[in-house]
Amino acid sequence: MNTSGPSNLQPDLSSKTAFVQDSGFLKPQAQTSLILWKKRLRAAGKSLQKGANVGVGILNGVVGDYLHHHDNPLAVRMGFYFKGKPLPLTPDALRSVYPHMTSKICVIIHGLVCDETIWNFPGSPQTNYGALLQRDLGYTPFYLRYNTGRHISENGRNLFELMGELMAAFPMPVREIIFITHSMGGLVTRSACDYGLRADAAWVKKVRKLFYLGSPHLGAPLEKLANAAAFVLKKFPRPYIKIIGDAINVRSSGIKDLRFGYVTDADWAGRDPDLFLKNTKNRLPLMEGASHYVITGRLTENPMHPVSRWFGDALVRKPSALGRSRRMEHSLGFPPCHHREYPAMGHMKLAHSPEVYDQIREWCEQPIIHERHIHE
Amino acid sequence: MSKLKGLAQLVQDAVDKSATAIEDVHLTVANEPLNILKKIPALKSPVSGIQKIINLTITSMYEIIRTVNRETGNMVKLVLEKAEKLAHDEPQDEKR
Repeated sequence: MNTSGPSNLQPDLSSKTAFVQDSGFLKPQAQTSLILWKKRLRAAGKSLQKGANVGVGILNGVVGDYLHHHDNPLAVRMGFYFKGKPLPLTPDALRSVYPHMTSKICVIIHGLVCDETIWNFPGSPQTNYGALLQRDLGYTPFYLRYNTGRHISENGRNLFELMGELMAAFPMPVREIIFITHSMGGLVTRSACDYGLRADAAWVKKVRKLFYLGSPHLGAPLEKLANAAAFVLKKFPRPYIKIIGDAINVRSSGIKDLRFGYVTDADWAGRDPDLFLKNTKNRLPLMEGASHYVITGRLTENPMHPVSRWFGDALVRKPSALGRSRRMEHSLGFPPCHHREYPAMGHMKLAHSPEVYDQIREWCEQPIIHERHIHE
Repeated sequence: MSKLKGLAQLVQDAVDKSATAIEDVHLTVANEPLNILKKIPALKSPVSGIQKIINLTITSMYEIIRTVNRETGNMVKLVLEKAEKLAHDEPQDEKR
């Protein structure tokens, strides 16, 4: 048997351990040592797998559109995941995974360069907003994983289709759907709802509440900076400087959509994505008939501190998260009582914070104010 | 295993595209002084000859990099396919 590769090491060791244990070939001390090594190797394998998943998420965020167009096996396919594995959308599979399912669905959507593990609380990987809402309010959580490097509107279209499949496979009539979204996930959700409204999809009529945690509805400053830097570098007459601009422009379509928060195909289709800070966004108001909630973070305790005013939660600024634009047609108009800001909380922490969960839960418990007069 | 294959494919693409981009820069930078010298009528003919040699050397060098990269990629792909086959066969052997 070949034992040269690390992948072969674990099975070999385990079989040998079993053999020497059975035959009494090794002294008890050596047996203990072997068992210990086996455990260590298993733990290393698990952490390697976890690291690989994180790496794949980052790769998809940075060059996910390239991976998708080249049919690279590293490209993530959109789907609901349960305990790290894709969840087949069949009634039997759903029943076996969710034996205590209810008619209330909670869809949880991560942001750029992440996967669903971003929701897990540090030090307690079984705890996340979905699991807590299931425990406290009886929601059935579905965790989405998707290729964050693709256009937001492409992911939105896929999510719209996937929600249709989920509804078709769900073993009982769905009474209520809520979305909990982080960062880019909020834009993907708005895009999916837009497709749903246009197609008059049944699931859109069930959407009651949407939570946006640090979603850059009007764009992210870091992407604007990358666009400006690449544009300036490419204007230099020196080829060795231009090449740096080219390298910056390799970033994915998903990242480029975050420049101004593009959520529809019409925002980007047929346009040069590398034009200097050219905003070609079309108007897409918040979906009527559902309640929309915003949670933002800021880097400092003091809300007036220049760091917080300029950098927001480090990646998304408050006006963008609240959709407050100088161009009225792009303003989203979240009700002030549907906004909560947390001091000294960075962008990523918004996805796994007990304080944020308390607020989400409080809002979930509130009766639905908006009446659905447009769709029903 | 498929993820490793994907990674190998991605690295191969990245090396190939980077080599081509750097080759363009290399050619442009190398040709700049030669293009200036070519403006002197007396030097035009010998400099053109030198320029051809330099350009050929540069493109050959990058072509070697691309070829080695391509062949390494093919080799890695073969090894991974073999390993995948072995991993697939092993459980069946165990059943027997």
